[in-house]
Amino acid sequence: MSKPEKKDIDLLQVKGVGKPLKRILQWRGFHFTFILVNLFVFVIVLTAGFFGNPMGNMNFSIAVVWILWFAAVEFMILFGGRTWCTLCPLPAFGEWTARRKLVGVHKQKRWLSKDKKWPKKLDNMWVSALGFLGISLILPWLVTRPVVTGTLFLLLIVFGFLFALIYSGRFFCHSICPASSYIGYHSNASLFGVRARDKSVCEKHIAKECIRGGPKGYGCPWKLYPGGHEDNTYCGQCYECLKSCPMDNMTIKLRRPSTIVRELTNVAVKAKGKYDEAWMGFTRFTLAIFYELVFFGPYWFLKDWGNMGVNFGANLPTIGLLTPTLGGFQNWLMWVLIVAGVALLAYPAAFYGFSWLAKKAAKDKTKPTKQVFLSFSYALVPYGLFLWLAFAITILMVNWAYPLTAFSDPMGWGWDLLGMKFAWSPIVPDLIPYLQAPLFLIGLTFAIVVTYNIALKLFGSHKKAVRATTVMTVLHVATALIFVWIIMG
Amino acid sequence: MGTSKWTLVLAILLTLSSLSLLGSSAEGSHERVIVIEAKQFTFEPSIITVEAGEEVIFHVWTSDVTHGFYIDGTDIKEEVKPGEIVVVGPITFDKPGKVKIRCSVTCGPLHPFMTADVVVEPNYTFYGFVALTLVVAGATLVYINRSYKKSEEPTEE
Amino acid sequence: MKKVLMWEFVGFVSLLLVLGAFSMPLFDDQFMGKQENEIIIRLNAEEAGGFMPGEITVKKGETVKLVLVGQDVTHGFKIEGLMDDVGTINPGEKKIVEFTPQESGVFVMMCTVYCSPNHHKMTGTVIVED
Repeated sequence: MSKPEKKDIDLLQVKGVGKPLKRILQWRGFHFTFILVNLFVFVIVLTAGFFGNPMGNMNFSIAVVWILWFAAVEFMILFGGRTWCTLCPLPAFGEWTARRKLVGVHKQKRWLSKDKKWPKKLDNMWVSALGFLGISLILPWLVTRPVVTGTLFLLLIVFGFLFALIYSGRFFCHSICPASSYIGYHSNASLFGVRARDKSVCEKHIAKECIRGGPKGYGCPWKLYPGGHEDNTYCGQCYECLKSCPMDNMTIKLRRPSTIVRELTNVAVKAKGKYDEAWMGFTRFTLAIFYELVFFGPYWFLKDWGNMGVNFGANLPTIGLLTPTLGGFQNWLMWVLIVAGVALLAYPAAFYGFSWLAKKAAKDKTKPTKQVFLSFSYALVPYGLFLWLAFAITILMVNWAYPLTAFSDPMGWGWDLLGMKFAWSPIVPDLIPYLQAPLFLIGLTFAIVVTYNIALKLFGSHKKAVRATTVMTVLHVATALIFVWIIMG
Repeated sequence: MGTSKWTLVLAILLTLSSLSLLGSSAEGSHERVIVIEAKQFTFEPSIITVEAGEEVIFHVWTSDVTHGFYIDGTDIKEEVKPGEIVVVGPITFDKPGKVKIRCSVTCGPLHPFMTADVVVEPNYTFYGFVALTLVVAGATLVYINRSYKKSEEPTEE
Repeated sequence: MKKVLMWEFVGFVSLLLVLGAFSMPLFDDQFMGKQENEIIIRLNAEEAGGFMPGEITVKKGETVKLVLVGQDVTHGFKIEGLMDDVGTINPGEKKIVEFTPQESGVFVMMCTVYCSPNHHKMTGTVIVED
C-alpha cells in the first residue's frame, strides 16, 4: 500500500519568493557580484595575513576566517548545501580566464586554456580529503598564525587559477580544493538541493544544454548531468544549469527530512569502491570530537604538541619566529601520529569491526562486509555535520568579538574603520553545552535512522535491518558519550 | 519521519535537560584557597574539582606574560600581570556541572584556546546528558522498529 | 553585442577596484586618524620587531604626543629620563601620552612588563634635537 509521497518544496515556485529568486539566479551578474564581494574579503585576508599584526586574534585573516567564516560555512551546509562554493573566489580568476569572459557566455576556446578532460584517477575526492587531513596536521598554526593562513589561501588561489587553464570546468573545485570534499560530502544532509523538476522532460529533451552549454549558459562546469543527479556531493551550485536549460526545468528543492534520508540512503547503497568518501566521513567525524577536546579542553599538552611549542605569532616579515625547537618538532610528530592515526586508522577500524558485527547480527550472506562498511559510513554525513556545528557554536559564542572587531581593524594596527570595536565577552559560556547537546543528539538520531534505511536496502528485511542498526547504534552512542564527556565531564 | 517523532524526541530532551539543571547545593560553606598559575597557554592546575556550594578563593599568578582570568557565568574578569598575585573571590560554585576559566587578555597565538575546567560535583549535568543520550538512541531504535509497519517501503530508484 | 562588452567593462573595472584593496596598508596614517603632532608607536615583542618605529626624532621644547598601540601581548612603556612608566598597554588598546623634552640628547624607551624571553632587550631610541 503506497501513500502519495509528500513533495519537497520547489523554492523557485514559492509565492512571492520564487520568481524574484529565479530572476536573480538567472542573471549572469549574480554570480560575478557575489564572487567580487568575496574577492574583496579575500584581498583583505591576504594583505592582513602577510603584513598585519602577527597575533592571530587581532588579525582579520585569522579572526574572520577561522572564527566567523568556517562556522558560517558549516551552517551554510546545513541550510544551503554548497552555498559557499557558489560564492567562493578561489576558482574565479581561472574561470574568467578560461571562459575569456567575466560575466557573459562564450564558447570556451583553446587559447590559454587547454580544456583537457579530467583524469579518471582524480575523479574523486581523495586529493581533497587528504588535503583536508593534511591541513589538520598543521591546524594549530593555521588557525593562529596569519602568515600560514595567508600562504594557504594564496596557494589555493594560484592552483585554482592554474588548473582552470589546463582542465575544463571546475576541476580544481571538484577534485583538489580541500574544502570542497567536506562541503560536498556533508551537503547530502542539507535541506538544499539543485534538482530537475520533471525528469520526463529531460528524457525527451535531446539538446541537453545543461551538459553541453547553450546561448544562455555554460554546460555544467562540474561535469554532472543536472537533469539526472539526485545527490549533492559534487553539485557546486553555480546555477549554470538554471541559466542554460531552455525548458525551465531546473530548480532548487528544499528537501524534507524524509527526502534527505531517502536520497542519502541511495547514495550510500549505490556507493561502490567510494572509499574516498568514507574516509572523508571518518576524518571529519573524528576531528570534530578531537578539536573540541584539543582546543577547548584542559589538556594543554595536546595544544602544545600541535603548536610545536612555539609561543609567537607570525606574519611574513616575522615568519622566522616559526622555528620550533627539536623537542617541539618531536612533539608535533606525536600530534601527527594521533590525528592521522585516529582519523585514518583507529576509528575506521572500529567502524569496520562494528560493520562486521552488524552484518553478523543481521545474519546476512549476500553483501560483503566491505560494502556494509562503506554504506554504513554514510551515517556520518549528518552525524559529522552536526558535531561540527556543535564545535562551531563554541567558537562563535566565546570568540565572536574578534572577527567583528577585525572588520574595523583588519590589519590589527589600531584602526577603527567602521566604528565597530568589541571587547572580548563570551555569550552565556556556561550554557554552551546545553546548546551543543541538541545538535549532537539530532546528529545521532539522524545517524541511526539513516543506518536503518541503508540496512533495509542492503539486507532486504526489516528485522535484519533493525538488528544491524542496533549494533551500529552502540558505536554511535559510544562516540556521542565521548563527546558528552569532553564538553560536560 | 513525521512531526510526532520529532515532538517526542524534543519532549524527552527538554524533560531530561531540565532535570539535569536542578542540583542540590551543599549545606554550609568552607573556604578553599586554590593557587593557580597562568602561563602560555593554560592554567595550572587545568582541572579543578569543587563541591557544589563550596567557597573558593583563587590566588592567580603568571609565570610569563600578562594574562587574564575570567570565569564562565560570573562577572569575574581580572588582569594578572607578571610579578603580581591577584586574589579572586570568594566565589561560590553552586550550579553543578562544568564551567571554564578562560584567559581574557591576548597573551599569544593560542590565547583564544587558553582554558581550564572547573568541575562542580556532583556533576548532574554530565550524568543527565549521558542518560539523555542513551534515551534518545533507545527511543530512536524503538521508533524505527515500530514505524516500519505504518510507513511504506522506501521506493526503489 | 555592445551591451555585453559594456557589462564586461563594468565587471573589469569593479575587479580592479577590489584588487586595489591590496594597497590598504599604505593608508595607515589616514586610517589611524593621525594628527600633526602625533607619533604612532606600535608595541611588539622584541623578537617580532620591538618598538615600531624603533627610533623617533623630536625637537627640544616641543610637546610630543605618542600614540602607543598594543599589538601582540601586554607591554609597558617608559622613556628613561623623559617619561615615567605609563602602565600597561594590552593588545588592541591605545594609550596616548605626552611629553615635552627639555634637553637635547638620546634617550632610551623601554618595555616595563615582561612580554617575551627578549623582554630586557626591548628598547628603542628617542633622539631629541635642538
